[in-house]
Amino acid sequence: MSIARIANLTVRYGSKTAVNDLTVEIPDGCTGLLGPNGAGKTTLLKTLLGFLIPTEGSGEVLGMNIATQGLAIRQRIGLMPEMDCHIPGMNAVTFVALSGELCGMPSKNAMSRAHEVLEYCGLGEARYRNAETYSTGMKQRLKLAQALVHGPKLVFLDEPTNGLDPAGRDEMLALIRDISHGKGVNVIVSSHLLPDIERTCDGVIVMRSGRVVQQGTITELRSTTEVQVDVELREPVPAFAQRLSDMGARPIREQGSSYRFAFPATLGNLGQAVFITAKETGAQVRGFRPAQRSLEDIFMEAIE
Amino acid sequence: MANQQNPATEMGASVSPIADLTYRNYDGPLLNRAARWWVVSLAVLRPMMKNKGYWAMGGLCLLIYIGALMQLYFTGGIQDAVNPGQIDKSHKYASVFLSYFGFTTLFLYVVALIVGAGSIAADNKANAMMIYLSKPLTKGDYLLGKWMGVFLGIFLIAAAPPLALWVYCAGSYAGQGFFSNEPLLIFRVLLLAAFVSAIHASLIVGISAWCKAQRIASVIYSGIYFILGTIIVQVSRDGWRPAPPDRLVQYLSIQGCIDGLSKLIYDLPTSGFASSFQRGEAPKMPSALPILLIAAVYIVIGIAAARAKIKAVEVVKG
Repeated sequence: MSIARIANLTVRYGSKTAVNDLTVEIPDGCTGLLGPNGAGKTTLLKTLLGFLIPTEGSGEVLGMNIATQGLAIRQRIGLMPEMDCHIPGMNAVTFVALSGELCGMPSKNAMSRAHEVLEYCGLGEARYRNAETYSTGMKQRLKLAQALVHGPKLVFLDEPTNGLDPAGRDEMLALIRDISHGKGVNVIVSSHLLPDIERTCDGVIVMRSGRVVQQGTITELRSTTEVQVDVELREPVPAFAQRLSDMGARPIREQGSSYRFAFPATLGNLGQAVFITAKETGAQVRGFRPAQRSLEDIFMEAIE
Repeated sequence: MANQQNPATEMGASVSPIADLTYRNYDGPLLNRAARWWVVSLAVLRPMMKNKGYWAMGGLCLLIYIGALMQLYFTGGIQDAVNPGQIDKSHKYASVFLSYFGFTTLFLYVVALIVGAGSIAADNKANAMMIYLSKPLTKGDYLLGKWMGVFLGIFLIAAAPPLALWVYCAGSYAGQGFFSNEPLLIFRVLLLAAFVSAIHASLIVGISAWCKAQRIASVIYSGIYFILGTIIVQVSRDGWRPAPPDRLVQYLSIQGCIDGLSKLIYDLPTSGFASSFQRGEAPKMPSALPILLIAAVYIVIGIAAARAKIKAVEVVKG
């Protein structure tokens, strides 16, 4: 089942095209939106929220048309914006309760729910403090709380770990993982931080220049028909890499004396092949281990 | 995860309604979207009610009308409070209200600054617009909510003190023809307060929407209010004398427009105090249409300026 369907979507800012003929189906669960700066991630989120009118194409979020049902979509969506934002002059509980009231919750329910989500987001002790006095990490939690207060079916998180220290980042990622698994809330996380996406998301969409260049579950994208190995030599030996390439290995990465090769699954005993080649080319092998394709590899391959 | 971290759970505070810290969906009632702008208005009004400056201005306005009340009390009746030779007897009560309203206009301008200058500017500074408009709320809902919050804040100070004087007059001078001479006076008081509040609210909200700091919005509105007011007064003067009431150019400034509206609404060309400084001939009433038109232009310009600036996202066209 998909939470959003987009067909041939184009969004332009004057002469600049931010999203270019994009077609994508976003599955339910937790999906990461990846891409370099200017890839169109934030523009896509703003368009899905109904803030921007598409120049061409169409889209649906939770079965509602993005061009004509912006209000209905925002009723069922929570947004945690990237930038630092709060309603001035309010303490956290008043701010989150007001966010609930803006979504139509009766004030008593909104206040009760504000206490609940602030506790859930780890701000229970600080909920009567003015939001302007919060640290960056607390502001991030507050933004998450206001996005969750009305019980949305879909939450957009734009750079949710920006400015967090390692402990705060761990807690935020655990919160995201918690709400997006088994709580009936779908999450779309836009981030530059690949480890964050890897820890929280089931699937990823990689964008570049306003288009989708890679999509799938992380497990699918990591799987490969080849066998990848990391080989570390005492010193760089170009002849070693050349000889392995001649044998059908595909060099993926070369950093100093460290190499990553992808061998065809049909090669047979590749350990033997690596050590024999090393002996023949005078290379000293200091490390040899099977490599795992990381999200960073997937991302770099997609945007190159 | 959150369960393990919370001290309340560790202490066994299971009776608390928020002791269960797992995430739950909200499946309670939702109110109709039509009145959602009122939530925005309340967000303007709640901090205003705690603002000491706001209540200080309200107190000063009230003091002015208490002065009127004392004058009436010590002079023994409303007939002696105005110049009997200058004011039509049927408008003698309205004349007192018009005279004392004139003294409160500066305070109402300050109230407009206190209530309205930060109304949208503070949201711009804190990026709160993104929070408001990411909810099921239109630009119109947001603007109406802000405008109404500012309007009500000014209206309360503009209407409550003269209403208090009206209640005193109704209780003390009912036997001296207060109701028979001025049956519509209470409506005139409310209408004038509404007009003044609408002009101030529209302009200050419009300026606030284009600023990122309350202070800047205050300075800009003060500049427009005083500089335009001074220029218009100088242009409309009749030599060294003030302009006669029927000279329309004097109503072009914000202060002038409010003066003109007060004369129209109380149906008096000049106040009881001012009449004693006028020349010998009877002053003429200013024309209603141009003054109403000027007021409408101020209101529309303010609202249009705010509407043009309210956006969830700033779109820079390349």
